[in-house]
Amino acid sequence: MIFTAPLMLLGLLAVAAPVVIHLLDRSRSKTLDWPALRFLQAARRESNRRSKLKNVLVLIARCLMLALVALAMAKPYTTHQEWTKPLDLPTTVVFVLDNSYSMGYREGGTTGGTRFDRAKAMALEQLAALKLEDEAALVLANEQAVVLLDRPTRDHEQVRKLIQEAKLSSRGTDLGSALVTAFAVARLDAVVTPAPGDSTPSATTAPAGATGRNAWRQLAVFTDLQQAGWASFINDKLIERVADPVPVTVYDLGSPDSTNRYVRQTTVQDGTLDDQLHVEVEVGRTGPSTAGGVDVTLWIDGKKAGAPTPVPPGLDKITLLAPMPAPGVHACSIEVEEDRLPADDRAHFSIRLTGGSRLLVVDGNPSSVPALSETFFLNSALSQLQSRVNAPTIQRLSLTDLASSDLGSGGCLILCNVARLDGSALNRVENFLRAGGSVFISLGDQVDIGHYNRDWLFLPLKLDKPMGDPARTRAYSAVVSADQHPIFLGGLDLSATRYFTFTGSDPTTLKSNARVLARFSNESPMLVEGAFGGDGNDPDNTAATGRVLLLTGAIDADASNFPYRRAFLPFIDQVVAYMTRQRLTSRSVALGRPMRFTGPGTLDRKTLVVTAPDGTTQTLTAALDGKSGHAVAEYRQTTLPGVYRVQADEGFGVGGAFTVNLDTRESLLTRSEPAEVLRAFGAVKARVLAAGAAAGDWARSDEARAAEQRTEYWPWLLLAAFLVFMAETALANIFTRRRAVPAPATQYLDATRRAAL
Amino acid sequence: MKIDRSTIDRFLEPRLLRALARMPLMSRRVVEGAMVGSHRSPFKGFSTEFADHRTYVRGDDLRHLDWKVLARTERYYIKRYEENTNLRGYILLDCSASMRFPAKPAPGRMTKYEYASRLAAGLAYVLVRQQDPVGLFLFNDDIVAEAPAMRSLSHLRKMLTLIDQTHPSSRTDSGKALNTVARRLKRRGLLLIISDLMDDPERIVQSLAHFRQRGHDAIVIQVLDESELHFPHTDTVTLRDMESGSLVTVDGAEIAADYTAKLNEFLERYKKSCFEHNFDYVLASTATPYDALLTALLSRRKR
Repeated sequence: MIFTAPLMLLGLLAVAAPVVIHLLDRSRSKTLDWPALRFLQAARRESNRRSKLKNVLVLIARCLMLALVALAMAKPYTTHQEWTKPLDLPTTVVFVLDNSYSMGYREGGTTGGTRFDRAKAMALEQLAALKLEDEAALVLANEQAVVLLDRPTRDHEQVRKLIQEAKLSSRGTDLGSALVTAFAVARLDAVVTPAPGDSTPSATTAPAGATGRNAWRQLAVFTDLQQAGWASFINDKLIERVADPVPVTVYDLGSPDSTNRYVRQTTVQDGTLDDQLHVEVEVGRTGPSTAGGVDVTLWIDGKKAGAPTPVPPGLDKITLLAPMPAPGVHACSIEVEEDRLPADDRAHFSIRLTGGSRLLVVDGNPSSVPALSETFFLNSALSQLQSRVNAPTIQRLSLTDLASSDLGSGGCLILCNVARLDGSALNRVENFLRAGGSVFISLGDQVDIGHYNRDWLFLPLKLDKPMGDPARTRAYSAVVSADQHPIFLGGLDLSATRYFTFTGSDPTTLKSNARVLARFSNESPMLVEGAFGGDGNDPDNTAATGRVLLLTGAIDADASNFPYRRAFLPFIDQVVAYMTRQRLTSRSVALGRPMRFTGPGTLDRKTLVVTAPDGTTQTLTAALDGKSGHAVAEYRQTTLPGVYRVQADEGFGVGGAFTVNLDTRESLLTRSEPAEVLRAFGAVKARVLAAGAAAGDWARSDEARAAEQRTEYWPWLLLAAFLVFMAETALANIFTRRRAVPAPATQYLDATRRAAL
Repeated sequence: MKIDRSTIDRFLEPRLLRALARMPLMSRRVVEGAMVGSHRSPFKGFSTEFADHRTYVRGDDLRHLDWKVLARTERYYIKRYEENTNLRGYILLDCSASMRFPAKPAPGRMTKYEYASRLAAGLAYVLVRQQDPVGLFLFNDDIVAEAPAMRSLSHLRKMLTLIDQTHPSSRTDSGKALNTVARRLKRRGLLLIISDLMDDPERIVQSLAHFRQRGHDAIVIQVLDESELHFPHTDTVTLRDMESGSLVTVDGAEIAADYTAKLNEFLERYKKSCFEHNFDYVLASTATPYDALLTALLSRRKR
């Protein structure tokens, strides 16, 4: 404890005053004649014990009161030494600026400055207060720690410039990694010779205990305390991995009543059944005043596609409808009305529409006699579809044509009883699938099962062996397994269908993105749907772009009565409609993540041109991956949310564009409690200061700052003295203010006195 | 002895005389007087109010023979009448040291002795004015001075001079002094005891019982200063006993309640004792105008 006016402690001598006064008072009391001493002596005997107690208590109270007043006048205080800069040491400070997109929250309304602006202003203010020998470094914190200065420097102008040029990112936050990095940077001023090329120091390389420079080291972290950003630091106890931490001051720029509305997710309904674009929008709301409705607007190629549609209170999802745009690649977005955090008010997606739908039919067993052709019944059924408005264009190909024709990037390819495909034809089919096309495969007696299983990578499951009896001694009925599938939605009944022979398959080899739509009565799959065309490294084709439908029986009447059944025509109708639907959505990737393009090995050294939303273009060259045999290219500059247009061979399955969106976890403005943050620092000295209290902290002189960082006790001492004074008064009253009872004999006296007056 | 006129004027102020002009002082009991007066006598004499008959004996005055009874019964009876006699009053005035209190009276106030002296003067005047003889005893631990019971104005002046010339100075032993007075008084009369009674209550109560046994009527006027009744000191003060000289240092604010309680017990004791003996008890504060006090007292004593 330190005293501002220690001389005032001499006032403690005044404690003796009550004792002296008490003694003097006794000796100097007036001596008066008194006739009725006998009563006084009797009364004194009774009050003697009480009197002694009272005297002692009152004396103590008075002495204590004087002592408290003397102490208060000396103005004692204590200081928080850990936060007061020692006068004889230079300062090393690492500024950690949270530049996640949630720091773009505008405190003063939609037109006010952002939290990041305020963080930069505070950092600059503190930087300006540093002395020549002080050093500073700068770390930006988003999902990664961006070290703008690899070590603390005395070049304050450089630091100032870097702070001014620092920009808000579109990323989330991970303050854990940023703090670990900043702790390491804070110790780097102790290194005399920096390691060449070591631009991103880590905790493991930090020179713990280095003594090259004796400095007062601090971390100044400017953040909005967003829970998602601190989760890793708190939950993973990252502070335990820091070898030599320094004190941390966290400047809290957030506020608990922040509100935000954002687009959490968009889903484009796949299909063009009603010539309408269906977009399902999921809206997120955080904060206390976001319970009301939200207007959402669909934008296509920079134009509004309809009026804003309100999302009613209490609902999160809504489906927007818009006229289907013209064929081609379209950049679309969903926008909610602007709020204080505009970064997440828009979510992007792209759609690709091909021209009129095409149907390519390949007959694996053609015949000059039409009725004997494998596709005789199929052609008959397809001819019934030509009267429809949206009827597809039918083109018939031979196996030779298949190997040399451009299959385009949409529509459906029907392979009927094809024995095998050579390499060129197979590549074209695969590319057709990667480009968003669909393939319907019907098997038959010519099928080379071994070739299919080995080379037809787009098959949804492995084939087994031919089953049934060609002599038709035994028949297998068909049973629909997925009656909610679009093909069977109209109540299509296959129960009258009888197959005498078909190709068996192994259900255990079913790919994860495939499913059985119908089975034979012996449980062998009859109709199986799969997909193909995603990343070549993904064996299950979870990001596939092409659709595959496999009928394990024949499409003609040689092996079944199916073509003669009433269900055949609607079945073909539904299959064609389903398979020629346009695949609308393109691939998407989270912001900051690389976009990988995979194509067949033949596309090695092919180039891809990627145009970012800001117009910057980058040309990629595919390289052959020796392990998978695919041609692979990777685009890493996904730093901006939006639609990235790609010009590449269809074999890469790009679809003309891909989208990058924000990680909406950052849009949840839920805050970590300051106490929780402090606990996460463990034994490390840390404090969380409100932004208002922290403003200009370093700009003040050391003395002024020390004055603010100390705890004054004189008000409490004065209050205690006052309370003791009240207690002393109460004590005196309790002991002395007992009411004297008037003498009964004075009643007559009073009556006499009244009469006399 | 030359009578100082100013002494009389000082004790018997005109306003006092006006207040006492028509106020009698009567005894509530029969008293033995030597002359015919307004007070009932224990003796049956030959006055105007018939009392009873007695048998004639030789030597009786024939003027009192009831001739009518003789004519009817041929027996000799003497008529007897109620005798009204004069009141013999004795003023017993305390001149002990405690009566000197306060040493320096406030303006308009007086010491207890001065106050008591004026009460004594007023009462003596009333008795003399109604032709009753009045005597005086000044006492502290013994009888300091005395005057026989006489009813002349010159005697009144003598008594007042005696009171004026006496100063409270010695120790007090009121019980002893009052007993001495009781032994000296041969005839029943009205005793006017004016004192602060600052003595052992037991002995004083015994003396009162002594007076009662001898058939006296008494009025006890206990004179106390206002500050004695209401303890005035609130700070620490050393008090010296005016009779013994012993010192006591007390905290006034602290002791006041206990003091008042003890004083109440003391006063209650005298009041109760007087009530038992059918004596009048009057507590007089020096703050009360003495003429008003006397007027009130005499009004109560009216028959």
